[in-house]
Amino acid sequence: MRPFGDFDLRVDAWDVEYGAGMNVEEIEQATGLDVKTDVEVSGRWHPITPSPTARARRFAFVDGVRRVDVRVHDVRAGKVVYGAFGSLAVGGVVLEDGEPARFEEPVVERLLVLGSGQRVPATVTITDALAYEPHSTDNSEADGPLTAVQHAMLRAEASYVKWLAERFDGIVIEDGPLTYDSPRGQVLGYVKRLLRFHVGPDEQAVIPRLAVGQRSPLFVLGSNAFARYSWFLRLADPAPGGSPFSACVRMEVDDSIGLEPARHLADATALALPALAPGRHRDPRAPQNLYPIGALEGHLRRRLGDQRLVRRHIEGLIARGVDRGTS
Amino acid sequence: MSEAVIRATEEIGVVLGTEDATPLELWVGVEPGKDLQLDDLVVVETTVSDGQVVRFFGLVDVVRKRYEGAQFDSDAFRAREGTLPVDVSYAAHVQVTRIDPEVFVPPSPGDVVRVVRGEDFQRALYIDKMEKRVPIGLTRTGEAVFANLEFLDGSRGAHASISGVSGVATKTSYATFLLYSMFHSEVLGADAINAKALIFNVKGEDLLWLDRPNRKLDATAVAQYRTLGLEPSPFRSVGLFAPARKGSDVLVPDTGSRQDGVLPYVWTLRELGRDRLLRFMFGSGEDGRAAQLQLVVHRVERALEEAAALGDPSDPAIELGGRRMERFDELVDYLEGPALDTMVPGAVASGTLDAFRRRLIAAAQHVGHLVRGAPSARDRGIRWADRQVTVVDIHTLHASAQTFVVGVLLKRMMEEKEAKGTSRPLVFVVLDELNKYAPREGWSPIRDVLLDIAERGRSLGVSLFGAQQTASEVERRIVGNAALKVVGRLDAAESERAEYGFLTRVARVRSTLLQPGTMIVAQPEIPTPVLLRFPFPAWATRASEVAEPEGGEPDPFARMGD
Repeated sequence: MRPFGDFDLRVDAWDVEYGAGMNVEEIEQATGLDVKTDVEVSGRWHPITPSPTARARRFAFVDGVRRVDVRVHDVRAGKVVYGAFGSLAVGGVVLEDGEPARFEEPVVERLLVLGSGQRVPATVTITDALAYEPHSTDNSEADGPLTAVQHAMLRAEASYVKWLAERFDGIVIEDGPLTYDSPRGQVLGYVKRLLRFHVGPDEQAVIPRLAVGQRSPLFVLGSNAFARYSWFLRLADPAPGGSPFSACVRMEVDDSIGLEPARHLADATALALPALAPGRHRDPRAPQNLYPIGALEGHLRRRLGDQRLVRRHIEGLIARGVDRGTS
Repeated sequence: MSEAVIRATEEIGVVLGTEDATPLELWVGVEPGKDLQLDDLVVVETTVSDGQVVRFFGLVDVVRKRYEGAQFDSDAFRAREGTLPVDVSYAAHVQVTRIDPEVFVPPSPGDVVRVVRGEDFQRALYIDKMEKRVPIGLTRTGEAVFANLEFLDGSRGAHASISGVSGVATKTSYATFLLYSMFHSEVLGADAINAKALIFNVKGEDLLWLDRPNRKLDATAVAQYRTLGLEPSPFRSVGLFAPARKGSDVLVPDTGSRQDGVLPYVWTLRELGRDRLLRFMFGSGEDGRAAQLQLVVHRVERALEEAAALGDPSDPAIELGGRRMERFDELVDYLEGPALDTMVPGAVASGTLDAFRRRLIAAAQHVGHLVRGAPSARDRGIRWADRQVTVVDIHTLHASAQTFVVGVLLKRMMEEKEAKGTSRPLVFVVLDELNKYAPREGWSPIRDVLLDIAERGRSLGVSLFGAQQTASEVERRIVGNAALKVVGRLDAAESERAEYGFLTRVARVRSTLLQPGTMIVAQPEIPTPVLLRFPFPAWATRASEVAEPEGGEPDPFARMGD
């Protein structure tokens, strides 16, 4: 039996990330949502200095990384099926006052995604530590499998957040905006790049005026079953020559939590997050890529294994075309 | 050994793959929550392609921790604040000491590493292969370590070289402990009855108490002796000799803290002549006339030898030029006159004769009291063969007199050994400050005899336990011939010298930090130097340590030095 069933997969010589220029947040940051800006303050917006009593003792950060190890395709009878060997890892970091920050045990998944609704028949085992599960996407475009890996990572993140939120008594901060599947309660979305402001020009004008540790008033984003409170906060002063909107992030929490708890969370993040913002010498995505998140990403990438080594194993398997551990 | 079950204790970690693992050295990742420390002995088992299991035994010589996932030094502060999550890597470097069976494959990253103790510890250091084991100390974890007697008694090697800074390195204490170990364990077997040790006491009066129990010996030290298979006690058979006090016609030992049981020693003028001892009174020939001077010494010795052959052989005095001489000064006076000119060939310049006279006068000042012709001097020599251990005190003597005593005793001993032509009985000689007696540069009258011991002592059953502050200043061949190489605390610059090539890089650094009672010992059969502690002396090293003998008279000196 062949490892890929009836498929004659060949390595796509293109660099794996070629054509992957899409920005995840662009995909996720929908437009045209309902916005209400008068939920916390009525009238003109002004910077809010958080109440010191809002200090929180426990934070958890959840993030994921994903990678296409090898792109493949099956070209037969003039019909092309695009595919990808993809790896993803999701994990968390817990910060508690007076304790060393610690990693939660991460989850690693490896997928062999085929586009056009196709799927290999069984797990492809390459070595004891390297096995890819069959996965499928209806998308027939060349980047379809890449998007599928991305979505798989988001799903894994969502379930990781859920798992962590159930057993963690503190604030859980998820990388990126909340999704419909995000758990309710003290789970916050963390949007690093302000590509959409959602609020009008008058409200936007308050963002450059925020001092480090201040936040904007709350506003409501979305409606009905998926409405959340959101706010902007400043992590650091803008870099010399940088946009006055830089060094700020937007955060959100499901509106079911209620206005007062949401204000409390907004204050707590405005107080805590600037201390976690790295300097620019450290990370090109500073200050938004907070210390715990940056460290977590590095930690997760190590768990994915060395990309060149993984790629060589996969290419070797395809090149030999031999049976290797298929069931 | 291959069939032996490794009674290793806990798993301590795994072989790292981020550093090279080789058959001779490897890195171990230590499991979280466990500890591995310097000097621990570990074993790694690896399976080679034919299914054979190969065991690597080794000593931990480096341990380190570091953050993983941290990029900058300042990340340490972030991690401490609790804002930056990091992993801690705890790793240890292992110097392999034994591979069993000898299949020189590298262990595999991920192979389990265990700490070994007890019998396996002994195997790891090849001690199981030693037939005659001399206990030489304990590791910090309390394992007994042994040396192979065959490398000390001349069968396969001899001599020990002990280096280290004075006062901290406890060189003499260690040499004494080695002697105790040999004489008080069963290791010498039949040789034990006749084997002798000759110890020169060059500093303080530490060694004048070897025959007395130490009352500061505590239960811990007793347990250490027993771990080594020894029963703590003072030395069983000890002879103590000290130079006769200057200016006194009655012979009394020139010691401060102890006089009872200490015998004063002198040589007779007849012995000076008969045994050609004059040369040992002459120091280095730094004025370029050395060869000429030696000729003069040689001629005078011959004249004295002839004189010593005449008359009553038991008479300490000799007659020279018709004059009976009972004092060394009389001999000096005689040679100051024209008598000297008649003894030497005419070709010797008068300047050389004057140089000889100058030195003779200088020698008389320092050594003269040790060579006497009065009747009381009869049979007052050092009888080092009477007891198992003989301590010869020379610490009160001037350097030239020390050289005389050491030179005369050793030369005599070698001559007797040579005459017997056998390597038994064994003689162990302990001599500190070898850099003075056998300097690498310059000449010393006893350098030749020490070199002779170093080079031929093996076959004659003479083993030299030499000690020195700096091995780099001792005659190369003497240090080079030592089978057992020991260092106590070393000066940092000294530790970098080539003489300590037997130390690993790490051992060199550690040698600069050693505490009293801790030594690093290298021996031929163990491929890496081992850090050892030796127990507190069971014998007193000063008056205040002397324990009162049970039911005996209180020691009148017991309170001195308190």
